[in-house]
Amino acid sequence: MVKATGLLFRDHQLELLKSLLCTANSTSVIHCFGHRSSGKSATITEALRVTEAERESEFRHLVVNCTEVCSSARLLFQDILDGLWRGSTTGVSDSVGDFVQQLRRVIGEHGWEQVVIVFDKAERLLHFPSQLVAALLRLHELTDRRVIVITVSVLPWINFSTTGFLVAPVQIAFPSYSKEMLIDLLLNSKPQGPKHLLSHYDEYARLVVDTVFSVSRDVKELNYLAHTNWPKLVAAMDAEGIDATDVTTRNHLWKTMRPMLQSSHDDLFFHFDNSTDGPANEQTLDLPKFSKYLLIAAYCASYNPAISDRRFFLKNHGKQKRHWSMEAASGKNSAHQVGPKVFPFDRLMFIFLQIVDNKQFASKLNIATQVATLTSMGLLWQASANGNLDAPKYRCMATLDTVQRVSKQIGFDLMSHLFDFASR
Amino acid sequence: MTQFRDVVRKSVEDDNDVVGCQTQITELQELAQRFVSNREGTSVLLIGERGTGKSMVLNKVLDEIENQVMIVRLNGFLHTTDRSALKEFAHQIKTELDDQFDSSGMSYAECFGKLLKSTALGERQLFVFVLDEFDLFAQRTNQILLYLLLDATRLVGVAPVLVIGVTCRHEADGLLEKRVLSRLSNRKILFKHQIDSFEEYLSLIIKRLSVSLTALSIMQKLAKEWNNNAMTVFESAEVIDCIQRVFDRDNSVAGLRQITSVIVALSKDSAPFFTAQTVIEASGALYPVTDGYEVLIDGLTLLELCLLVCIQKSNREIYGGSFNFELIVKNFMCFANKYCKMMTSYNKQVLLKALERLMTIGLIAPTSDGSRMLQDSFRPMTLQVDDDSLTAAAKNYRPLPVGIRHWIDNDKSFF
Repeated sequence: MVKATGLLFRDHQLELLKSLLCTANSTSVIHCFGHRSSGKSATITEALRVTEAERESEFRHLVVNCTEVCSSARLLFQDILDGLWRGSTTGVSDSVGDFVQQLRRVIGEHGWEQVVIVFDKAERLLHFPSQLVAALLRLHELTDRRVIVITVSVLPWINFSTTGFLVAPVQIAFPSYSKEMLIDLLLNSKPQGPKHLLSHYDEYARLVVDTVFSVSRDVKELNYLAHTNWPKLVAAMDAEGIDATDVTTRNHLWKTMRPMLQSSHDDLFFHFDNSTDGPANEQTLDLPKFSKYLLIAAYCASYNPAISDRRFFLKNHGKQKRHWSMEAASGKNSAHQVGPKVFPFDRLMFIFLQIVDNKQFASKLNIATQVATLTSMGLLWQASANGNLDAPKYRCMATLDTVQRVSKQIGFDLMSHLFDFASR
Repeated sequence: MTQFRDVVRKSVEDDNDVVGCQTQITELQELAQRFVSNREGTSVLLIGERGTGKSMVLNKVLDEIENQVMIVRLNGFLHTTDRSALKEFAHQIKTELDDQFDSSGMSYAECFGKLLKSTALGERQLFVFVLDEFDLFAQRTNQILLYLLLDATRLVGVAPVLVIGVTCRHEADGLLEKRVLSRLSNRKILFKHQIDSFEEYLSLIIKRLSVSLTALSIMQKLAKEWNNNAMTVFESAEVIDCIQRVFDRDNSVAGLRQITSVIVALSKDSAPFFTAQTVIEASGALYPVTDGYEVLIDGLTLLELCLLVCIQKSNREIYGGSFNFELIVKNFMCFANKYCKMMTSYNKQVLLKALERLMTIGLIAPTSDGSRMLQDSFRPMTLQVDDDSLTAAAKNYRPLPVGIRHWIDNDKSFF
């Protein structure tokens, strides 16, 4: 695949990498870091390509994607050995000692003078025991061959330095692209379109970057946004027969484009597909009616202080005295800020029976099974031990949005029953 | 021209001159010579921090006696069990450790003894065992390998054994069992950070970077130019400043080798081969002035930056220093209403996603205790960057709307 963005504004990093890789020197670890899609991999690939062309057979490189292999050390070792050897290695164990020995043998057999191992997404390596990470970073020393390790990560080196590594690595920072750079990068990959419109693509690119720069600086996202909206623009211009050479009409056009870009950026953010009907949050929760009441009751129990139950769920609760503890509860410890509280089953039953409209339904057994169903769906979470059958405790894990949608379906006014939102 | 740089590189890389370790070298040399001539087993510990030249000294000395002895190198880091160490031993003396070891009832000690004898047939055979990361061998549950090795140094009748332990732990011998310790000779060779004064460090760098003229008869002229250039570069004040900073952080021999090697890698093929800029670049790449987070903060989107500052400001008000996403979202809304109306339009989901991105780049991290049972947005989090560097980085952010700058400057209260 041809890199759409090309390699712009990364000359400095490329030069540094090339000179470190092309000439033999005692550098054994190079750490490249920067935000995602800031050109790290592209730069490294280019540097490796140049080096390979220069050094030919005595040079070997390998890119390991750590996300794929971070589940076990054996998988990681297997991946490295297979990738270097371009065949499958047998008898790979998960001990570092064996791995180093095999690596040494493979390098010796092929007579490679220099081996470069690139660990992409190296932050995943931090899940391994630090001994193993230290061994990977010291491959040069342990194998006694010229092995250069390049770690590519979004995290700066300081996160890796806890692994007890001895000499400082060469750190190469990849700063994010600025606004002007992004526009240039977008111009670098123009889509198809009529010539007379493409000549104004720079204005369009500027518009795209301006619109979403404060929430996204990702080249790939911006490119996607520009490319998906370009055909719409072309179609609109064709339909209305707008003269693209005129500055004022163009400005008008850009102005009308702006909200469209904004909304399509939201789609990008949530990864909704516009072609399918309705975004995912319109989905309904299909539950039996009483389960819906139960869920609402659970939500109220988790997010209201128990002391306020009298006020919300008793018909004739009399005059409400403002209690100091309730005032305190409404402040910083509000459940909508610190998270849902645990409640006992009895309290759930009480609230449920108060809010449900059909009072004849009162089989406790049936409710217990429905609670179990809700728990298995992940809407409730059982906070007490499994053996506790007398007074189990739960916590409501459903979000406000979900419960609000459910209560709308059955016509229940949730907001006036919540301590944090109800009018005093 | 290209060849010239290769020659320079080679001369710099191969310069294995171990600086300042002369006393250690002579001590170890004497020991090795005595071992070879008297054929009497003994042991020694080389102790010193990483990068102080232990291995360099060791290799230099072992090179001299290489053809008179059998060298077995074991690494506590690689051979994590005594069994695997034994296998490696067998491998290095090119004897196959027969299946007996695994199947028959042969004990570890017997097996070890057999290996030691099997190659001692040549009579004149001397063993040198190099135990790298000696402390890791000593930290195992039983120290049978160490015991057998050190015991062998005392035995008469088998091949004489010299055990050299290399470690960076000064109390490594304190980890040993009594029976092992009693067999260890009390000889230790200490290594310290050798380069004490900055003047020495600077002159060593220049020395390492200069090419010896005798080695390059063909390229005399270029070599002279190179050397002159090196001299002039290291006279300028900014380079001296920069090297001083490096020296303050790392005055080890290994660090010195590293930085000179990077300078050579970055140098050009023709005059001026390298400039002050090259030196500064090399030291910046190896020892960056900051911890790298400012690069990440500078690359944030405006929304993420505002959220980060919001976290910083709310952090000052919360006791215990942990916050959750809900709180930040609420505070952020308050901020946006007052300082930056354009930011109020963001959906809560957008804010949560931005916060999650801050988490993936390690600027905030979930606290480790008891947070698993809550939804993501209620998980307690902590800020991972310190206050001052965050404020400094945020102020350097461009383009920064005026309202937001006022908000950052106003550090008395949250709003």
